[in-house]
Amino acid sequence: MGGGATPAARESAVALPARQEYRLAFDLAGARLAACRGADAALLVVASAPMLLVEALLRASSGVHVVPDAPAVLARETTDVYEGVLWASPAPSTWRSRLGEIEAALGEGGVLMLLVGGGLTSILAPLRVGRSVGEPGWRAGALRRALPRRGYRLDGRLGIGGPATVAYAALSRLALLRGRIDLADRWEAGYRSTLSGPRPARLALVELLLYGKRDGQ
Amino acid sequence: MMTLTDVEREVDARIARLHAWLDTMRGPEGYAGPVVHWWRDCLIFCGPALDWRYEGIIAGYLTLYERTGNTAWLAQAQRAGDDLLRGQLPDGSYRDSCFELNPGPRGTPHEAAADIGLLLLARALRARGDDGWQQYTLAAERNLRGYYLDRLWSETEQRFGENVERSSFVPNKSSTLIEALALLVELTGREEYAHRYIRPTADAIVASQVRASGSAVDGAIAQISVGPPRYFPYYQARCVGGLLAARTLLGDDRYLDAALAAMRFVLRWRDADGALPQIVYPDGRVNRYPRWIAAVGDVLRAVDLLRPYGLDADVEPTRCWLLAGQLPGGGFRSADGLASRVSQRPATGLPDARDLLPVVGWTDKAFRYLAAQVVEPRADGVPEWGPPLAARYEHQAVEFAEDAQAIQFRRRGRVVYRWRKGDRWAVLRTGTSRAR
Repeated sequence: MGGGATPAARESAVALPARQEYRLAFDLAGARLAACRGADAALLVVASAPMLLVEALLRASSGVHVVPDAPAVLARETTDVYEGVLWASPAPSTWRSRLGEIEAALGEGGVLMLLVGGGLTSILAPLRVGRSVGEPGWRAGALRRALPRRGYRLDGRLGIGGPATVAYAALSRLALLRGRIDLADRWEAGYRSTLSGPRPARLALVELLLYGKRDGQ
Repeated sequence: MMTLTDVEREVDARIARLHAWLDTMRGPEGYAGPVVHWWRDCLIFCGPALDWRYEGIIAGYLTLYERTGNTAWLAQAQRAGDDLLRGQLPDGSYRDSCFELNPGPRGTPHEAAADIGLLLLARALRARGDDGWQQYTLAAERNLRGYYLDRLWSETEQRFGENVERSSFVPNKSSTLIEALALLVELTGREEYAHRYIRPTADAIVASQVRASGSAVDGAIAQISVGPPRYFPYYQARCVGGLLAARTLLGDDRYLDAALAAMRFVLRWRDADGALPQIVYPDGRVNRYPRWIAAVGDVLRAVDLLRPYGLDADVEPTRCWLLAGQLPGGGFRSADGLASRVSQRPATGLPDARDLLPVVGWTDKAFRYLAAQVVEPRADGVPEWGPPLAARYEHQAVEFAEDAQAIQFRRRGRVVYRWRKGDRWAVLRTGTSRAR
């Protein structure tokens, strides 16, 4: 049985509630880290928004260290060994320096998990309600190309959300406008169902990229 | 279908199996497992969760103790109460109390429901002259004062907000809170809570109720104070306990009338097979699916609470609906039609694997109801896991299997979903990431 995060780790900064796609991504990341390195694996979180940090900390089970990638994200607890890194979400202006910190911290055989924008992100960004600075938007092409050269192996690419997510959201809003609350609820359920599990990564809202660090790198 | 007489004879055995199943869902930190719900499921995070499951578990074990005098059942209730004490965070909230939204603290109505469990336990211990009652009262009071009274109460609006992010009023959640506060008044003598918090909250619930004689939705209590009204039959039943507690404490019969009208609405909309539709809308439209199975224990209990006040209902169809949902292992199926949330068409063929999932935070409702029906329950029941059940998941045929070690869905022999009991995380197989 994995232990819960320490109370200190759970007292989070004030943040907007995380979107369902981010919560699913962090669930998948938590399960991945536990499967690869055990339930109590030490985790390094690199976070670019308070809401992302909050969700990551809720899923951490023991030693956690935070590298802030935005002024609003505060560093927390320290530990010397990191078996996993959750990087949510890399930014084009800072990824090179953050990658250096991560490489220095991630142990051999460690797991690197990236939450990045998906193919639909740039299309939908202007339409999203309450979008905050630091949410995944960049698809991290340059970083993706750099990682194999630095000894990282892509083990998995999970898409979250997709065109059906957008379609259901639009139908739900339309039904609400027409006063058909029953239909709005059904489409809303459809919207949420598209965010209940990983999908093919093409045209996703966000992607979770799972890398392994090759031995000796 | 079994007759009621057959069912009555079997209740003791059913409770014994249910108790044994609950034990397989426990780890050192509490009761764990996946969750399915109307809006969303929590299938990947499966760690111990200190949510409303503790209301039904503690109340159920206390009922078994009260009906039999066997202190082994009291010890089970106390063990569950100790989970909450250990999992209470410095601010008084409980670890991972958000049920389908877990992980995370400060879930509503979940923490108030857990407080009900603690306070019922405290009351039982105090009645025995056991000084241990005070620690459970203190923990519940810390949560109720630190979270609900200090952070969710609005002096201006004279009601509780839904949570720290939303100030909307949710009657069923507030009713759970009334029950907890009424127990706290009883145990601590803080009478001021009755007038300052319980009365205005109960008044707000009554104000959320449709009263239109002859209307199909007469008696229905709206789900939430914002947006278009929706009426969930299940959540009407969750309003009954708080309204009755307010009536007992304050002597105002309007609260009893509201509870009776709400349950009459529920019974009018009940399906012929005893199940309840998920949502009824003001214009009479219905979104029927998913229809709860384990959770109807709360509905049956609400009917029982109101019988002494004149509610006359034949609950046999609903009781049979509930009992037919018990799995060989002892847990209860969660729902019928979780895969029909969008189409709203009745499921044909194999059930969805999520319908079959026994969830502690739903099964506790069946447990609490059935605990009040037992004669001589045994504490040595053994789950009979039985063969895998044919089901569907994500539009494909799977086998649903549960035993003491795991719950899993398999497709052609390969694991699609697996939660090893005791693990914090489940494995969900995808096109790019296979379960090990």
